[in-house]
Amino acid sequence: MTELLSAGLYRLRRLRLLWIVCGLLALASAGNVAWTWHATLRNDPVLNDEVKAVTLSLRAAYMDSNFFTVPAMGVLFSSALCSWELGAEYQDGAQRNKLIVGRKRRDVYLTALLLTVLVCALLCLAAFLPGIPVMLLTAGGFGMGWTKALLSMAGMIAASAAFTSLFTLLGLNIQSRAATAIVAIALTAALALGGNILRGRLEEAPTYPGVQHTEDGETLFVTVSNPRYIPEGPVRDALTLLVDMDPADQVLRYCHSGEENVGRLAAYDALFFVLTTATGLLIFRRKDLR
Amino acid sequence: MENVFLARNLTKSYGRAKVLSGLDITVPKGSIYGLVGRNGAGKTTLIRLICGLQLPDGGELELYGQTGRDLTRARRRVGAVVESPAFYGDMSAADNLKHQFLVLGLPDQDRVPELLKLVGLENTGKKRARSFSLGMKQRLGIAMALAGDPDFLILDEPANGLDPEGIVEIRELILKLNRENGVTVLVSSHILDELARIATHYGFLEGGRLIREIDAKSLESSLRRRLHVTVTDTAKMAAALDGLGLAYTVLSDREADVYGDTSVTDLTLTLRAAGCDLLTVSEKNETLESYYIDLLGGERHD
Repeated sequence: MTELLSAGLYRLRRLRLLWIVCGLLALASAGNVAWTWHATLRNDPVLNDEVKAVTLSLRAAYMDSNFFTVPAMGVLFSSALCSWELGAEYQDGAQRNKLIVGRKRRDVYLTALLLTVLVCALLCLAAFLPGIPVMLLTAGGFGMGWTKALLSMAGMIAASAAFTSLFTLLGLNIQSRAATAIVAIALTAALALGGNILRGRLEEAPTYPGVQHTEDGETLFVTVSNPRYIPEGPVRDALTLLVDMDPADQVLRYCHSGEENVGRLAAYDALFFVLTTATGLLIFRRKDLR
Repeated sequence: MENVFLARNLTKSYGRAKVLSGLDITVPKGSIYGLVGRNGAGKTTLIRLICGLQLPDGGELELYGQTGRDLTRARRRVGAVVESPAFYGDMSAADNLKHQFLVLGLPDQDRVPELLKLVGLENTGKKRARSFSLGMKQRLGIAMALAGDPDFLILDEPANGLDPEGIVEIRELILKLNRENGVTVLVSSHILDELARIATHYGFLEGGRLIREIDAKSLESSLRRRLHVTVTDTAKMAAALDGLGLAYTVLSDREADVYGDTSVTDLTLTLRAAGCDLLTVSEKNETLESYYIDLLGGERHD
C-alpha cells in the first residue's frame, strides 16, 4: 500500500486542477473576509455608544458566519473534484494498471480513500488559512472565540472527510466519469437539502402562542400545540441521529452558527466514514472492472 | 513444456449473457500466443480475467502455477494493455512511466529513458500524453506494461489505430521481447496476416469456447495448397469438381478457389469436358485467415 500511496502523491503533485482550485479557494477565503468587513462597516456603522455593543456583536456574528462560507464551498468543490478525478482513473485506465500488476483491491480502495481525504483536507485548509490573518486584521479575531472557531474548523474537516468516504464509494464503484460526477453532486445537494428540511422539523417548537376570541369579545392569549412538532420518542431519536450523521448538514451547521457539539458530530463522522468505507470495499472487491 | 498460464472450464456471464462457457486454454512458456476470434467471442473477457479486472463465475485459472488468492502475487510478473492503452492523459510519457514505477514499488527510475527509447517515445519531452497520436498512445501503453519487466505480456489488439510503419514497429518489438528477453506474449488481434508473422501458437475462440489450439508448425502443415481460378461458368465447374471430389470455394460467377493436389492440366481437361473454360489460374497457399474462416464453417464445399 505504501507504493500505491507514494504513486498517488506523485500524481497529486502533478494534478494541476487541484492546485488551481486550492488557489481560487485561498483567494476567495481572504477576499470574502475582507469584503464582508468592508460591507459591515458600510451597512452597520456604530451610530452611538448606546447601540455600540449590540452593533459590534452583530458584526462579529456576521463576520464569523461569513468566514465559514468559503470552506463550505471547498467541501462542495471537493465532492466534484474527487469524483471527477476518481472517474478519470477509470477513463484513462490508470485504475487497471494497478490491478494488473498484482495490487490488491483492498489496497487500491484504501489508497484512493486516503488520497481523497488528503485532497479534502487541502481544500479545507486553503479555504481556512488565508482568511484567518484577514479576520485578525479586520475584526480582531472571531466573535465566537478562538476555541469555538478552531473546533468548528476541525469539525468541518471531519465532516468533509466523512463526505469524502462517500465520494470514494461512488467514484470507485461507478465506472463512468460523467455519471460519478453527476451522482456525487446530486447526492451532495440532496444531503444538504434533506438535512436542512429535517433539521427544520426537529427544531419546531412543541407549542406556539396563539390568541382566542371569546363570545364576550374578549381576547385570550393561549398556548397552541404545534402539529409539525415531532414528539419525543423513537421516531424523533432516529431522525435526530440521521440528521446528525448527515455530513452535508453538519457543514451547514458549522457555517451558520458554530456548532456546540463538535465532539459528538465528529464521532458520527467517524461512524459514517467506517460504514461507507466498509460498504464501498465490499462492492469494489467483487466488482467487474473494464 | 512449462506453461505460463492455463485455464480449465472457465465460465463468465454478464447478466444473462454467457461470454465464456467452459473455456480451456494453455499458454506455453516462451510462446507468442495468438488469440483469434470474432467480436464478442470472449477474447477481452478472458484477458480481463487473467489480469484480475474481473472474477470468473466458475472454472480454474492458473498463472505461473499459482491459483486462487495466490494469483494476485503471480500477477506481479504480468504486464498488459487491455482494450485501450492506460495512462494519465494530462501527464507526459516520462511522468506516466515514473508513476507506474512507483505503483510497482520500484524506486530506481533509471529505466524510464531506456523504456521510452525502446518504444520510440524518447523525444516527446513534456508533451502531454493526451495529445499523442494513436500510435504513440499505443506505444506508451506498451511501455507502461513493460515497466515491471514482466515475464508475461498481454496485448489486446496492439495494432489498433496504428499506421503500417507503427504495425511493423510493434511487431518487431514483440519479437525482440520474446526472442531476446524470453517474454511470453499473449496477443489478440483481428489482423490475422500480422498475427501469422509472429505467433508460435494459436487459440481460436468462438462463442466463449476455445474451438482449436494449435502451434504454428502444425498449422503451417495443415494449410492446404490453393489454386485461384477464373472460369467461364462456376456452376459447371462446381459440378465437375464435385465429381472429382475436390474441395473448392466459389468466389463469384467466374472466380473460385480450388484446394488439394491436382495438376493444372488435369483441371483444365476436366473443366473442358464439363463445358467450362479455364481462363486464368494462379497458385496460392492457404492463409491463417482462410483457415480461421474454414474453422468457423465458412462457405467452402468439401
